[in-house]
Formats: sequence, C-alpha cells, structure tokens
Amino acid sequence: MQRFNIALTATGVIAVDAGSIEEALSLVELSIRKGGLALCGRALRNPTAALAPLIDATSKANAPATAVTAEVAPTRQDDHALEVQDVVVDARTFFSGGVIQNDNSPN
Amino acid sequence: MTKSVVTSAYEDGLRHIANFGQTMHLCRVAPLDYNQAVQTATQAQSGVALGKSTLTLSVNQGTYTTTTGLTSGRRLNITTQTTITLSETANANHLAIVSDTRSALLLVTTITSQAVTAGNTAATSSFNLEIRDPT
Repeated sequence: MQRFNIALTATGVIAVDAGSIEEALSLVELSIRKGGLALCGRALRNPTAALAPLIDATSKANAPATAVTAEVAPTRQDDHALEVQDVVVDARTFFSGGVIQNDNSPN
Repeated sequence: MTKSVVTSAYEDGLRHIANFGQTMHLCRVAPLDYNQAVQTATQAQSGVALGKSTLTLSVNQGTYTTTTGLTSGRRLNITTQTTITLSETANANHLAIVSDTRSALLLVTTITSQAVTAGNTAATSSFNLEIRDPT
C-alpha cells in the first residue's frame, strides 16, 4: 500500500505530490477518503480523467476543497506488452517445389 | 539459371493484407478460420480470441507500410498497436489479422507467450510480413 497526497481545486482539478503517480494510478484501484466520505473508482490509462469526477464530487461534498489522500493498492496486473514475431514467405517454396517444376520449366 | 518475380507481384500480395485487414485479434491458440479468430471462448466453444484492435486500411495510412524486404523481395510492416482491450484471461501466444467484411482470416503469426488479464490493455510490437525473392 502506498499513500499519495492529492491536491484539489474547487473545479476538481488535481495535482499530486509524486511525479510517478500518474503511471501508478493508471494500473490500480483507487479509493479516496475525505471528511468521512469515501469514494472508490478504477483509474485506467487516463487517470486524470478517471479521477476528475471523483475529485469533483468530493470537492462539492466537502467544500472548500483542500486535499485528500489516495491510498493506492495494486489490484491489477500491469498492462501487457507483447512481442510479435515476423512472418517470412520464402518464394523458393513456390518455385522450386511447386509451380515451375510442375510446369516442366527449367529448374 | 536465374529466377525472378516482378516486384509488383509481391506488392499486390502484401497490399491484399493492407486493404482488407481490418482487425487484429490476440489469440490463445492459432485460429484455424475467421470465426475462431474473432470469437472468445465465452462467445463460442471454439473461439480463441482474447482481445482486438481496429486497424487502418491501405498502405501508408497508419497501420501498414510496404518497403523493400530486409533480406529480399518486399516487406509489409504492421505498426505497434497500443490499445488492445482484453476481454478474456488466458495465455496470449498468437495474433491474427482478419477481414470482417469478407469474414476472412488473412494472417496468423506467433507472439511470445504471455499471460494476459481481462480488463487490462495489451500492446503489440511492430512486426513484418516479408515475401523474399526466389533463389
């Protein structure tokens, strides 16, 4: 479990106290608590967009907005980077083993 | 003794993939036909699809690029896909490109096997289809 401070504005714009939070939040379930109000949500690839309505709701329920703490617990695997192998078609397959020999062409 | 094939023969063959390959599917095993490639195991018992990405048709429009072959002949590059949404949890070890309008399986290749999780996204590396000169 990691803990980050998230600063709020009245319009729900957020700032975080760690540069890597954007990446961290992109892969985790997120819960936000402030003043007894708990909101939960899943932040995906665009954490700012995913967080905005949560932060906004928190702000309105707890104005004036100041800051909340987000507890970040990894509950998902990292997104997956997959390595694809090339495909090679060797024309020898067609010419030495197929068309030309069957047509009695010089080999 | 010399064998040769006009470059446009390779180019046209590669462009068939570029002109009709609308969707890329990650698969848990090699699909044998279009239906297997596009359906998940949840949708059909024979389905092998795990997630998909929509491709941009035609060469030099974003997904597909043709160039001189690295060894010889012609080469079709399929660019990196970064937003494949996964709908099944399994090991991904094949990739298929299909034509949805033709219900056709156009290309299957292997990927380094990796466990993937439904709800996550996957990214595939760029890869190539090369047709080499006869020798």
